[in-house]
Amino acid sequence: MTKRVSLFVTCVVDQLLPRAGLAMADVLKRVGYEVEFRTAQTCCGRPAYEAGCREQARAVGEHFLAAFADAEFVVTPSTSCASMLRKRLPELSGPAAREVAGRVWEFSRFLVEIAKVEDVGARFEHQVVVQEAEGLNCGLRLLGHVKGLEQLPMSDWAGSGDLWGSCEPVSPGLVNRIVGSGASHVVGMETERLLLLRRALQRGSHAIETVHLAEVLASR
Amino acid sequence: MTKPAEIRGHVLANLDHYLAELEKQLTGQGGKVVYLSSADEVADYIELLAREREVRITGGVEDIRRHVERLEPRVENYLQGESSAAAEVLPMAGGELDISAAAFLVAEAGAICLAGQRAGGAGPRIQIVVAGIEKVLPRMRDVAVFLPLLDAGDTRFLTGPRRAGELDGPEELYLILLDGGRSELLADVEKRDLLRCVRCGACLPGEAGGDAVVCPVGIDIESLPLLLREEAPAEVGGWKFRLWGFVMRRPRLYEFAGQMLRAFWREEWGLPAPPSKTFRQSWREGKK
Repeated sequence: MTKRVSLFVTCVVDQLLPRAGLAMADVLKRVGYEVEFRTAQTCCGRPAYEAGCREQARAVGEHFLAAFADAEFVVTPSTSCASMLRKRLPELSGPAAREVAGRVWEFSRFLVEIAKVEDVGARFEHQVVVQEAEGLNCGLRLLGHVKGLEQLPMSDWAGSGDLWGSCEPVSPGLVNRIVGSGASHVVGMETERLLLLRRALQRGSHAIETVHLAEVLASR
Repeated sequence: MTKPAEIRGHVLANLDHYLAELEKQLTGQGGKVVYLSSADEVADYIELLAREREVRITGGVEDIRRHVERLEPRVENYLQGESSAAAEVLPMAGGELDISAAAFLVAEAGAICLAGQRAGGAGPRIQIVVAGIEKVLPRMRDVAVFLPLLDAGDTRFLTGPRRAGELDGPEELYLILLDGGRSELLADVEKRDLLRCVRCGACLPGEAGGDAVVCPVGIDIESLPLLLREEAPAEVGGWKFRLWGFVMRRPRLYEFAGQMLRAFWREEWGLPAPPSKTFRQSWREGKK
């Protein structure tokens, strides 16, 4: 019997970064999963939670819980939305939420810990820097098996405030360090910051591209 | 008194004393100490200083203000995960003038501890350090208690401008002590302890893992940040989130809103232009 995963692409990927969601689906199929997309899904509730509107965060979180109540594995491309669902939603919504939220997996962690694959047969012949993110370890292990990919060192990412989702503008210092690294691509797992970074790089007319980890893993 | 929580409690109870000592020491060593009440005032001050020194700085007062708010956010904002843990320098005018945040200030030594910076190098000609008034510690050895909490990387200590015969250090050193609502917080018995925060980040979303976290400086993080978060909606405009929540629980309405986003997208929003199709549109087409 084929194992089945349910995608939670998040509102950001649905609206602004669909390629990342499609790439994630491709990779999951490639490693042997049947992939479904539930159209009732919208958002995890994080924007309201971060703004302090716990009531609305809970309401939208419970919409998520209802939509995925019977899903065995829910896989999402955003580290901070995964964190919202796994850690914050149970605080707002109680034990029932903990049960569903425990079945939510950030994409890279799902591949490494559940699917138990690190080499997905990807080829990506570029020099990249990797965006700092929560739970980066699994992402790095997957990238380590990508043929042709060279990861360049970049210091001080953590000091830039670019760790988890927020609407803070990307700091000029971070952009400068990325440009200085000589990389052609920034690979990321935190979609909101990745988008803001894309915008900041475009504004500065830098030819550096931003790609989601799933897009790197899907390319061959 | 060697525990972080004890030291921070002691500092807050004697804040005026330690600030006076810091000012006396640092001024004696040739630094200039300025008290300002808001990020707006800091931005105006720096802009004026740059003009007087004929240093050309990129961006205007507004850029400086935003940078200052990033460097030295209010404790409430910091605890709500709205700002970075570690400081970042904004070099301006090609290394002529730097605006940095202090990790700590040391009263006894009149010293400023900058964390997360590259060691060595001549540094800027004019060094400006912005620090919340609560950043002060009594003695040099207290720094050793707190630095490990910060995971700060390299640190630099400034004790004044460059003296005759010294090889590096700034020609001018300004320490801007920023109030920014902190003295109000200090007067509020329920929230005063927030000022103990040294921005170690252990309690922040994305860092802590949602498991039980013990705050090293003894802030009751279980209840205080929650108290702050629940106060916030009045400020952020509750009706906007009620509307948002209404839409997000109705997938068809959400999809319609996504189409509106595409139709009315504006450059100024600060996000890249949305692609022509959403994920769900592409998915539906792929399934046909």
